[in-house]
Amino acid sequence: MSTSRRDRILNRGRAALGPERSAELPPPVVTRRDDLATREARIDCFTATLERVGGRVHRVAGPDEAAGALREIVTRHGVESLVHSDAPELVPLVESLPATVERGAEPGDRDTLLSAHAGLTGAQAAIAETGTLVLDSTAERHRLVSLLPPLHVAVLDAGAIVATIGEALARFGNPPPAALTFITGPSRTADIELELVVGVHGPKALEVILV
Amino acid sequence: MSHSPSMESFPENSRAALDDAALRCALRHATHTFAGRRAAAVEGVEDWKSLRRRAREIRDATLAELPRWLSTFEERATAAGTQVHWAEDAEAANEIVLDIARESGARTLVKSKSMTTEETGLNGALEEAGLFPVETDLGEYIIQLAGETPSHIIVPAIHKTRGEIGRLFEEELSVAYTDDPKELTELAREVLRGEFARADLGISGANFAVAETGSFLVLENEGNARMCTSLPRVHVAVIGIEKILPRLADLEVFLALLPRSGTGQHLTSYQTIFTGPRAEGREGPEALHVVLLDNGRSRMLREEITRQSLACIRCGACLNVCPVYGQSGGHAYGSVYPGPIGACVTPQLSGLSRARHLPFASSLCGACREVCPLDIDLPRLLLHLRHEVADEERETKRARETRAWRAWAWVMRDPRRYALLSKAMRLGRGSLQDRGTVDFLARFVPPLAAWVGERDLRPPAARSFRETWSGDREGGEER
Repeated sequence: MSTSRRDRILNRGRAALGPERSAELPPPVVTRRDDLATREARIDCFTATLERVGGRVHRVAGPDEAAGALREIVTRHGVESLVHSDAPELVPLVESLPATVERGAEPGDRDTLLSAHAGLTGAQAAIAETGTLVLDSTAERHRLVSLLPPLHVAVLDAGAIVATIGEALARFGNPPPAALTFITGPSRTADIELELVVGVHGPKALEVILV
Repeated sequence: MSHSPSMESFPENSRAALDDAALRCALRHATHTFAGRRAAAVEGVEDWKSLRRRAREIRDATLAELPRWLSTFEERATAAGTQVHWAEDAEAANEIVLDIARESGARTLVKSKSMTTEETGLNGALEEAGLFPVETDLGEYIIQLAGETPSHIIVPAIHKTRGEIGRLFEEELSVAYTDDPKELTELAREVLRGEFARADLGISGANFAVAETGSFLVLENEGNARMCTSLPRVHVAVIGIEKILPRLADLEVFLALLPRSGTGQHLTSYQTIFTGPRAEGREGPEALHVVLLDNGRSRMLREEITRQSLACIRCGACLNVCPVYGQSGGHAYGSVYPGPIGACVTPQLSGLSRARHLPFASSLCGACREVCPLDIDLPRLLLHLRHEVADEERETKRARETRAWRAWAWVMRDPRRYALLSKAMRLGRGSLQDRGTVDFLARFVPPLAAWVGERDLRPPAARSFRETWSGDREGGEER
């Protein structure tokens, strides 16, 4: 059934196109950003671009400072419960949190995820020119942790920032994971009279701890 | 204004829309805001013209070998564990989704915004079978609550004011009235959270599909598409066959063009590239289905002029600059896709006879082509379709026209007959100056009605040229 439908559609297409099908596929369009050749330039560009769309970036020197940044974020947002992905490098950060903050880890139950105030994840890469985090679903369980709680905190290695979307696609494309998610700022809508509202279904705030 | 007018009655629909002051006000605000944001975003890109040219070349080359790329997509997607289905038309696509829902025992269905499933009328088909998919994009949710259809490709509820949405929520969700967009958004978030938590089937569209990896991509800002595609057990994506790009690397240029043209953003908040169901021990749906929809698209491949309508990436930029869309709004078109691109694709998808008014819903000013990120020659396409409409209508019009011309020729062949007719017309001169009489006459003479509907009728002069000429010669007077 399905096979014949397939053949009918493909044959219809072939018949419509006729015999002369000599299409030379042009090469992909590749953006070159020579101004983002250095690590410092990429960090600056990533930070500026992400902050322009409502994200916040905390630049820290090492794990201790990262833990400090997380504590500051958690206090500022009044977070009482936090869930985190299964990335092992997040565990020491979570352990340094005040005991009053309830914790949950993936894989966990969905209710904990749905009610948590904050979600903590890693990020496999970032894109400087667009201020984008790149999350690879084979690396961590972070699809829901980065989506359901109203606050998403991501820990990013500064060395993982690439210049362009094209570079990020090349890095994760062979073959791509089940879900490759690009995140640029908090969730937003302008569906009512085009008035911008930040925080719809996804997080209302995005903070990045850049190590 | 009626909410789902038919495409057959575009002239009447648009006239009704013109009388709706609130609608025109909302439209003006929305289209001007979007057009301004797009212009600002595009200005920041130095080589915009060359980017769109190169994107178009990729599209053209892909469409010219579409069957091959579709086969590649199917092969790679299947290898990644995706179940690929083929649908020749809307009914087949809906049937496939319904079967998937039945087989997986799904009870709660959530949907992210998808114009392709609007095209197939999926919600109606599911509801007939007793399944009630919940739209989760805020704009789509609003119009689903109101029992309406989208009036814009990107902002479906563009025609609704905050007050109308406030009253709708008050009535349908039993909440206190508010017209604050922030509070309304919060209310929708709360309600839809419950649906996401229970959902066992998620339905999405796709902005692009990638042949070499068997992937597809969804762009969004709200996060509802991510919810629909990562919480439920099963994910079904309905994708038009024209959405195929050959390589993953091609996404780079299309991601530069689409958000800038659509909302004036450099990038939407989220893009997710899906390739197969979840990996062992990872998150995501257990099963991933892709339904490839033809529904008239392969027909459009035949001629190069119509083929270019398949290059469209549904950004909505042409709607925002179109003087006709800006005055009449999306519902007047009576079609899923409104505006200039809607006027082009609808007659090709739904058949020329049903949508024969739509190619005429344009002043051919060319603003649509100017902003199109794929440089689709919309004015030329519209002219081409007008030609086809005229060809089709010629048969019926011809008999009537032949009779009229024959009568005209009979009068014109003899000076006495001509003089007699012009005298008769001058006798009726007084009544032709009276609008009431003209309107009365127009009711019985359709060609007259067509003329006076948009213009004034100029009655004949009191003295004809011939009379003046002969009078002058006899009396020897100048003038």
